[in-house]
Amino acid sequence: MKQSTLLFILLCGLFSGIKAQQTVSIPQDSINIETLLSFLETNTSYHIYADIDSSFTVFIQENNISPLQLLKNVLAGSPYSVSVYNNDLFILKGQELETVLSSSLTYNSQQDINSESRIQTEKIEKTNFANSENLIYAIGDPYLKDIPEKVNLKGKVIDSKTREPLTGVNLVLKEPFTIATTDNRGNYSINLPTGRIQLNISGFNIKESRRQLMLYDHGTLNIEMIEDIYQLDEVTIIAQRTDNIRNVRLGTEKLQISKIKNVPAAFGEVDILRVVQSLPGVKTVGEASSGYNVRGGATDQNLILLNDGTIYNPNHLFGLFTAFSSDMVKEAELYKSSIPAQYGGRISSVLDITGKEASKEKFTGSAGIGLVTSRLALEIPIIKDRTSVLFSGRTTYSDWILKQLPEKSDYSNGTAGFYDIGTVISHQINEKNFLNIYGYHSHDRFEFNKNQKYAYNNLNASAKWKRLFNSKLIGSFAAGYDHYDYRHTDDTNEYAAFRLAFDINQLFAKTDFSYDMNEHKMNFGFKTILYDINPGTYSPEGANSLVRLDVLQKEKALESALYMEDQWDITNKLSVTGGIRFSIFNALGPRTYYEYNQEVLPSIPTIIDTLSADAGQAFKTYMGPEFRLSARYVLADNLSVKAGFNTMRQYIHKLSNTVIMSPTDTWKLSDTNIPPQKGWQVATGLYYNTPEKVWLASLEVYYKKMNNYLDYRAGARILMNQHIETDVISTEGYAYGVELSLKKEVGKLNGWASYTYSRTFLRQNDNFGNLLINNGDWYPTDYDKPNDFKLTGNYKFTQRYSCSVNIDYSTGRPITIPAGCYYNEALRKVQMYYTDRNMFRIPDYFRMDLSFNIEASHKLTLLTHSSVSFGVYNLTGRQNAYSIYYVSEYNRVKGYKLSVFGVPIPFITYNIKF
Amino acid sequence: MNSKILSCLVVLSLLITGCISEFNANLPSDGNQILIVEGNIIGNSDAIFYLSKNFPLNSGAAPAESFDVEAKLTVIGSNGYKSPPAKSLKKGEYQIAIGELYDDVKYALQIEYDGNIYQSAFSNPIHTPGIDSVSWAQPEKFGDISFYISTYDNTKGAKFFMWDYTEIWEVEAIFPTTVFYDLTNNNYYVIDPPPYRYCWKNARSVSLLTASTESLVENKIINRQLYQISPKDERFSILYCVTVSQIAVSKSAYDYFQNKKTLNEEMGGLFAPQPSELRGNIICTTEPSKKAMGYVEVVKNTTQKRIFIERAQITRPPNYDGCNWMEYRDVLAYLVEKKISFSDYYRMGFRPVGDRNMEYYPKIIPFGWALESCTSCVINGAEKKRPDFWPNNHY
Repeated sequence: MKQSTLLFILLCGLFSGIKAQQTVSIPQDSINIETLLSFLETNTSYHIYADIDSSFTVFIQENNISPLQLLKNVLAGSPYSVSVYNNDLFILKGQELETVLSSSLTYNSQQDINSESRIQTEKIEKTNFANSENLIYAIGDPYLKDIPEKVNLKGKVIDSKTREPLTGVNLVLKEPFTIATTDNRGNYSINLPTGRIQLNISGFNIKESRRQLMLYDHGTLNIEMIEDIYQLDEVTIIAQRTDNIRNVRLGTEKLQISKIKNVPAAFGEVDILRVVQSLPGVKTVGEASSGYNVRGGATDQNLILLNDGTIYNPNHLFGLFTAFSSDMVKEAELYKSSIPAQYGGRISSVLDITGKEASKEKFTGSAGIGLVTSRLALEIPIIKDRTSVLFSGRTTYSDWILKQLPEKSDYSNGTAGFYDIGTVISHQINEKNFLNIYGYHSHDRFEFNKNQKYAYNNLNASAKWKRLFNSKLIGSFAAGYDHYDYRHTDDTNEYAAFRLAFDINQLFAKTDFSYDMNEHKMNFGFKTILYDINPGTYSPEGANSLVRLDVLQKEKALESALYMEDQWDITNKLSVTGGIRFSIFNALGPRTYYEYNQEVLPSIPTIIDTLSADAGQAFKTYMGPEFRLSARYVLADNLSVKAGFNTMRQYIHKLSNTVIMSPTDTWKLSDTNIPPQKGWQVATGLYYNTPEKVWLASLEVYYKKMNNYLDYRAGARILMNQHIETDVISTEGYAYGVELSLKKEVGKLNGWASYTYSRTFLRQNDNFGNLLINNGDWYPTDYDKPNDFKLTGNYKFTQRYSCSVNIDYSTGRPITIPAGCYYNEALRKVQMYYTDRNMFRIPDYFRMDLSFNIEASHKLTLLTHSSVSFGVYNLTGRQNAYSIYYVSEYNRVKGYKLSVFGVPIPFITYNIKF
Repeated sequence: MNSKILSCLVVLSLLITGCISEFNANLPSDGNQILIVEGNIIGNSDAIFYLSKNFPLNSGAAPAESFDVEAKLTVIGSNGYKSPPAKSLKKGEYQIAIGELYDDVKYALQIEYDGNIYQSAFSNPIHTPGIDSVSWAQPEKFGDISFYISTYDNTKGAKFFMWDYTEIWEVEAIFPTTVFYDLTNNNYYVIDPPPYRYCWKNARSVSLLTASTESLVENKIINRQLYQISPKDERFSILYCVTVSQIAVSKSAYDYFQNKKTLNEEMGGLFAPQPSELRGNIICTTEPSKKAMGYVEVVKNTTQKRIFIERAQITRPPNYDGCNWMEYRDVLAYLVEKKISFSDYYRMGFRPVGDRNMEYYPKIIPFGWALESCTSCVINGAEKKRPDFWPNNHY
């Protein structure tokens, strides 16, 4: 029990007398403590204040005694003690309370004897943290001549144990309703009336609490919060407690890893990308598909950042798992519409993933064992309260899964494996300077058969220094290196055995500042990325290979951007955010490049000039501003309306002619012949919360346009193509949709459901007429699934037992089917031909998953906490089509449906925390 | 830190299967008529061209009317060359006698069909080099037999190759018989030596086989695998022969056939590419909106290589042929019991079994009866068509 609470009780005790004796009789000899307490409260005049961790049973040995004595008897031997003051009984952990006031406190309390409260006030120092619910924290000088009516209070909210800043914590004043939310550095700022107020504080993974304040002036209050041990208490599966009414941005979704652990997953693994894919507006082409599509954008139009580093392939095992273990992730934020000006470089969405920092106080760890993977995470304090290291690792034993995949999926005779490791070193240099160093590596390998091998790696390393210059200005400076590579070897024929390799390397540096001027919150900064891409190396494998070494020339470029954004709270109801990001892209030499005749379809014969650029020479520059605007108007305390407009630019493009992200996708930088992709989105939304925020509802509508997206000519060659610009066609696209979402974050039943109606179309629009897909008409994209309903729910039976369900329904995706067939005499087979793309749809998709979660123990005294999740993926066993395809089988063509997981898949995972 | 070791996990026995099932969609038919053209202009040959029409996907096998294409075909050259008009062999099948093709002349196929003129793109003939070798290997005992081709060309620089092959193999009746039953006269007669002892079967490649040396330092293809066969296959029961035919093609023809192969044989995988429209080199010159499909390549010559494999050259697991014969006495007892005649027994698919060592006197009597498929090689598509080049003395 907290010291401050004791103080409060002591003070109360001063003015109370001992209540006259009463007796009580309990009609049973064993009773649940909670039942006993409510019995006593109902049947005696006592008020009982209890702070009991969990329910337990007590034994009544003696009846007809005073309630105080009864409680003392039944609690003897337990860690709880009973104290009485006036008409109140207090059951607290630890020793019994003193009833005599310590002399040092006498003066203050006597002075306040007739004041509005008989409660100790504490003059808070900036460096101190307010950690008590019962103290009143005084801000400012009470003897100030002109106490203003409204004051600004700001500060930081941290975790009392790890000392880490807490993000997304809400501070709420009920009357008049005012709310503030901590930013990603744990800082908040709130305008409050002077006088005595109470702030209610809530957030993920922390115990709901309150702080009582006596406000005289503007000031700072840093707040310490306690981690919620019973994670199931707050059964919110997904975190969006950042107030959807007050947040100025549209289309943002925040995920807290500790809260998504109950979402049923294919192999029992907490998986952040799988949860991202269950959010409204996010689609995939099917199960086990890497990559996702946000509001009609392509898979390469999503920026995935892990601790500021760019992740080019976020998947393990063809998309069955996310490439980083959830143990190393603290939270993730997905921006679908209002993308903050600090982000850029992709035109659809940003997924910003923040790594977890280790506790600086106590060595802890966790481990998990599942059917496919095992993982371990350690949090190691190096210097107490100053330095800590987090290490997380995961590895797999996944060959058996491949055996289960359909033969046609190409993997059933294969083997595969992966691992990933991540580390975060966090060091607090002093109160104002913080240094974090991040490292991440993932490796995947798989073989279709013993002659065809694939491997790919992600590697990211970065350092970030954060400095609090003063209470208004915070700066962060980060630099790092991101790497992705893949290689493919094929030695089916030893004389033509080859190795194909691709890699992308980028160095980045960025600075971000946030400047807080009460009504104005400004962010500004700079980011630069130096790209160095090896677009392809085709080399002989083995001594007998006749393969000629072929190295595509390197692509280098510098992408830089300056940004500035201001959130202006014009009135308490109206806030606007305006941002501008100016990006410049310089394609750098050395490079030989070609100029094509602009009047005809570019092809090798239409090259009119061959040019070369020297090392470091910027031979092509693209630049332009990007605008990020959004506004929010609060119509009522629980109703608001928002609108936003965004423009984006993208200078790097994925080259792929498969429907999903494949391990052999390569990336290409913009250059003389490949202009940057551009996109804009306009969106508006309505947000409503029921009283007490039991239900959160929102409706968002968007329209989006994309230009210069790269699509491919029929039969295009993607790999090792020296003239890729002759095989791509500039494509435009548009998308629109309505997203309806309903969330319930409190209570035994909680979760979210969403319905989306959306369409997305592409059109090839170069000027050369023929050879265009669908004759240059609009056609639906592969992920155009108009109706989409998703539900994720969790029901908590008790604190230990809970059950989760996932339901996913969507219209079947468009596919291309043969337009007809013909007989091929030489092969004596019927053959097919194709004409229009995506003119047919596969059957609708439906899946339901179920999982049960058991927390083994809630006792704080236990050294380890273990939990078990088990359940079934695809409970109904529906054979959802992944694709419909046709194969020529002698005298006829046969259609087949490929389902990836066509039967119910049971899973079990055992987790342990120490 | 707790030293508690992760407790043993009982892994549920899992049943995970992805699945592939047949899918019959109610497919729209786009009703467009497309002229399908197949065949190559090959110098010094009687080149065969096939013309047909497209048909809807769900109509099953090719309907007879899809071959109902009457056209006039000629090969034309940029030097004014015009081949004799094509001979119609059967519906949709045409033959043109093509003479020597010259390196510096471009040739094309011209088709007059349905009031329009269709034409393949003009191109220079490509010289096909000789096949270096066709070889085979059975790396493991009782393992599959793989066939390989090696070829090279350092003179004319052909870089893209296509192959097809014809297989011929000899089969033998299990109980070759000299005694036959005459159903009309209800008696036995003898033909010696046994006429249906040896037969021959043939097959053609059913998959497009292509390779390129574009990315190699030398214009050489070494041991490119063509196909594989299980040693249990009847192809290896006596003598097997394969004749591989090679042509060198242009890069655009190679790309066309590669794409055609992908679209027809390699769809359905998770990472299969998006199917797209396949464009050949044939256009309708009189009405450009009329569609035609196919790629007609101009080739100076084709080259062939033939190899044989005898049963003894490979390891072959024992194979049960499913054949038994019933002794003549037991056959008689069976007929009596079932109250049926020899004619009835014959109609049930049984045939007499006898050989030349039997004494046919005073009466011709077989020593038993067996299923027809065991007494005659003319079964399952095998024919008494001994190729001229067949090297052994089986007839």
